[in-house]
Amino acid sequence: MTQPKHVELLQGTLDMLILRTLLFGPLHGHGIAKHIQRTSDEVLQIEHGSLYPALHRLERQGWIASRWQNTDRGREMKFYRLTAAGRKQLTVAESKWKQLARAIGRVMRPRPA
Amino acid sequence: MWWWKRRKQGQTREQDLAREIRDHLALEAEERTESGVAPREARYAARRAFGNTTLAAELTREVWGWAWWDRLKQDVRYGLRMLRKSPAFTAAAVLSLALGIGANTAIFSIIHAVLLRPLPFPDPERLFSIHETESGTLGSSEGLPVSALHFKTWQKEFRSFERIALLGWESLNLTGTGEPLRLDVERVSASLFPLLGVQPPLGRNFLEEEDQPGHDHVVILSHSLWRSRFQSDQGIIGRKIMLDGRAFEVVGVLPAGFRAPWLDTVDLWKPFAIRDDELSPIGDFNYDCLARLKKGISPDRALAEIKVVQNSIARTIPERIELGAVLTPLGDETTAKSREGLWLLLAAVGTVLFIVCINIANLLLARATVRRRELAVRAAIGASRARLCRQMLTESLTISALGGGAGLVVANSALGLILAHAPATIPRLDEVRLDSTVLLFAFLISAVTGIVFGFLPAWRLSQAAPQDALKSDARTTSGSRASGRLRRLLVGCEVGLCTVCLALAGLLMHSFYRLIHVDRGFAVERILNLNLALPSTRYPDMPARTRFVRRLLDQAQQLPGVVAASVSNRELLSGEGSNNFVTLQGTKVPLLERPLVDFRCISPGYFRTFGIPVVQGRVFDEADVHHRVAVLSAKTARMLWPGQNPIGRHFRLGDEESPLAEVTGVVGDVRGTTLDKLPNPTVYLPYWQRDRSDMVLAVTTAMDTAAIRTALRDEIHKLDAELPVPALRTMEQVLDRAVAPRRFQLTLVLLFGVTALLLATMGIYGVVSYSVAQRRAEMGIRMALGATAGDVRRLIVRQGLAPVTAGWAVGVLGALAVARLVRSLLFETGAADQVTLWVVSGIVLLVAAAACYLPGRRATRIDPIAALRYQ
Repeated sequence: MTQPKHVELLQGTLDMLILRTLLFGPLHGHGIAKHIQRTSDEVLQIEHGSLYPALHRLERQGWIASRWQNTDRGREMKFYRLTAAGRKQLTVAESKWKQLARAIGRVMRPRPA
Repeated sequence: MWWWKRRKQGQTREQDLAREIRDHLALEAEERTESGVAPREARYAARRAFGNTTLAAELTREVWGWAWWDRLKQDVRYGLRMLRKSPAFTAAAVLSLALGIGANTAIFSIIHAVLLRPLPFPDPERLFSIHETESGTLGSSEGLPVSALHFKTWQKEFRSFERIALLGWESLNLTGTGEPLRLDVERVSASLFPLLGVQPPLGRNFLEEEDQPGHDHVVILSHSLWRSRFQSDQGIIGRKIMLDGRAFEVVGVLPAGFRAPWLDTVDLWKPFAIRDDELSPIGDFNYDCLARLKKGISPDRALAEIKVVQNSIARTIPERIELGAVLTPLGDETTAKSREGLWLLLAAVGTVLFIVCINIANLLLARATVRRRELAVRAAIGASRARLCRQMLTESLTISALGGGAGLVVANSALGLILAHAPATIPRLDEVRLDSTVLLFAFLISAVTGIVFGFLPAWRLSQAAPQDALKSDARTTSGSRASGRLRRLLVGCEVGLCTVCLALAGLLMHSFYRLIHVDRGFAVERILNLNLALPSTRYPDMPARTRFVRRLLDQAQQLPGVVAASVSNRELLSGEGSNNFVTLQGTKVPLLERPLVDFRCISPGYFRTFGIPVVQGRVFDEADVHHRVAVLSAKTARMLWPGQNPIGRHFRLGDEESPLAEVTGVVGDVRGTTLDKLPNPTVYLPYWQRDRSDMVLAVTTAMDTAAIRTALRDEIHKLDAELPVPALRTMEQVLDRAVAPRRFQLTLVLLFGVTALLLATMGIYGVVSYSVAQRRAEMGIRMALGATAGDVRRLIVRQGLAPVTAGWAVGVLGALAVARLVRSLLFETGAADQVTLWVVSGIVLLVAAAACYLPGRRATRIDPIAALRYQ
């Protein structure tokens, strides 16, 4: 029963990570999960299952769009890509995240008076 | 259409999501296989990496926004499946709910139509009834009827009212159309129908000019009279009909649905046309008055104005009196007498429903313990506590929805049955039906019932920690302490409620018994009653009427089988009668402070007919025709001449102008107006000395046969072929009708009380049985350790009776409190009536003990070894 907590912690951040991942180009759910895992050097171990609610939520909000496409292996899978609105949202989310990170940093290493 | 599209959309989305997840898992498994893991291991690893597929799917569905609807459908489907799997439980629950909800809906529909709905006239909140008060001597702060003279003053002086109208009752004989018929006629001011907002669909209303004596030979027919007597003749307007030998022109017919609910049935309406002899300055408070308030004026202001006018009237009267008035909303006045009884019925039937809920809650709690495993698994998969709770509640609501639907069917039949037997004293019963408000009520109580009985089990269940349930084998434990306590608490509640209900029924029954057996002062066996009205056209004066009565009595007494015959101007137990003041010789007491007595105009055979004992002196007879005589009731004699012999004394009935009458005898007191009031002081006058055109013929027979009835009718016909002879009534029927309202109420409350007891018993039996079944191992251990069968039985019964006794004790206190509230419905029965309480307590405890004993017996038949071995 601890899975829900895990997802909630990362919900806003997970959205941002997904949008960022899709900046490179359309990808299917599995690919997104793998990408996040790899790029973070295996630090961010998210449960693959928690991706799907996030993906559908982002799709509902209009930041990503989906399409069934053939992979290079020949299977048909659902691919997600970033929309224009999504691109804008990514910038907004990224700047918010940077603000947050800076603020936390200031608390951790207060500047000499 | 959009709904269909959305459904298709939903299906596609579901399929897509399932496919997505499947593909993801497949891809992940592939990758792992490629890196050297065994295919099966790879698949498991992929699943583990994914996490909870079900939860992921659920969360995604939530994102789509229609999750609650789908979940609801799912829950309902699941609930129905669970119900199908246990048909016995479902049948019991739905059936008992149907009865409970149905009965409540039926009673509510009556209350809605009678008490809650406003009267069926435009702007009913502005309709009022005005009563006069004379707080000085007549000592009534409640209302008196209205005097015609005062009404005329009001018509001139009132400014707060749009219209006021005077009403009075009369009976007339309709002749010339088939059998002569006696009609109930209401004399009304021309303003009445405009006041009520009623327009005759055929013809017109009365004109103001027709409301004067001499110009008032017009009538408006009621719809039922028009249909039954005049065959709905469209050309009725302008036709002349004969009433009491005089011609009246029909000017209108009232609409079919019109009722004046504050009156008994009215066949015909005619203009009031106040006669001069009805305008006496004091006394003669005889009539009803209705009024419609002007828009924007408050009742208090109107009442203040009325009081001012009343004061000015009082100043014109030589006697010193305090004249006032009360203003009552017409709706309240109509329903005042029935109100308490009806709410009592609703409370009783509500109790039954509550007990049904408790029973079902207990059943669900018992089933819940069995379902613990299933719910534990669900919790382990990822269902939150709220989710589980929601699902259990949905199941409960499904049961209550089914129960509610069946309940509507029950309500329909129950309503039909109740209305068929309801006494005529409850007004507006013809307006009762299952309309939208009632359906809404049924829907609401179904929902509330479902929540009430579903809440506890749902809350209970969702508390269970899944690990415990999955780990332990629930069958060796006796169930949690807390759940047992809860069940016992519910049993206690049931018993308490059912005690209250039964106690109430008992009190009403005791009241009724006392009423039937009260010392009436007169007999009712083998007495036939007949109402006759002599029209003034053929019997223009008192001698003519007297002659008729004498001949009638002579003929009637000679009929074979007739023991005694008499006439009186009023039937016994028909309600209020004529009264007047008694003026003693040389008295200086002001008129309104003189003793008030009922008076009756009778023939000498009256006391013999009704078995009223003659205590002193003799009854007047034909020989006394030349001087004024009277017979007093014992109470009157004591009142007028306490401690002295009244025979031979003189008094005047009325004021100083009235003739002097000599007392010839004293008779026993009778409860002549209603059974539940003490006898009024009564004066009996000979019929030949007081003019009355209405009379009741009473005949005592040796044996009531059809032969005597036809013989009587024939005699009357022989004397006067045009006299309408209504149906004969026996005094027993009259008595029956007088107590019918109480009997009706008693029957219903008793029915509810017995139902409550039955349900509570089933509940107790169920709970104790279940606990015995659960505690098999414990019983086995006890018996293995040396307890005898008797010990075990006693243990079960004692433990079962513990909550019962507690509930009973609280119930008795509750019954005492409730009985105090409904004191006015009881007759000569105190709220703390010992007999009732003892009997009811005895019944409840005995039945409950039996319900505990039977499962107890079963417990002793347990083979200890088998019980311990059985896992």
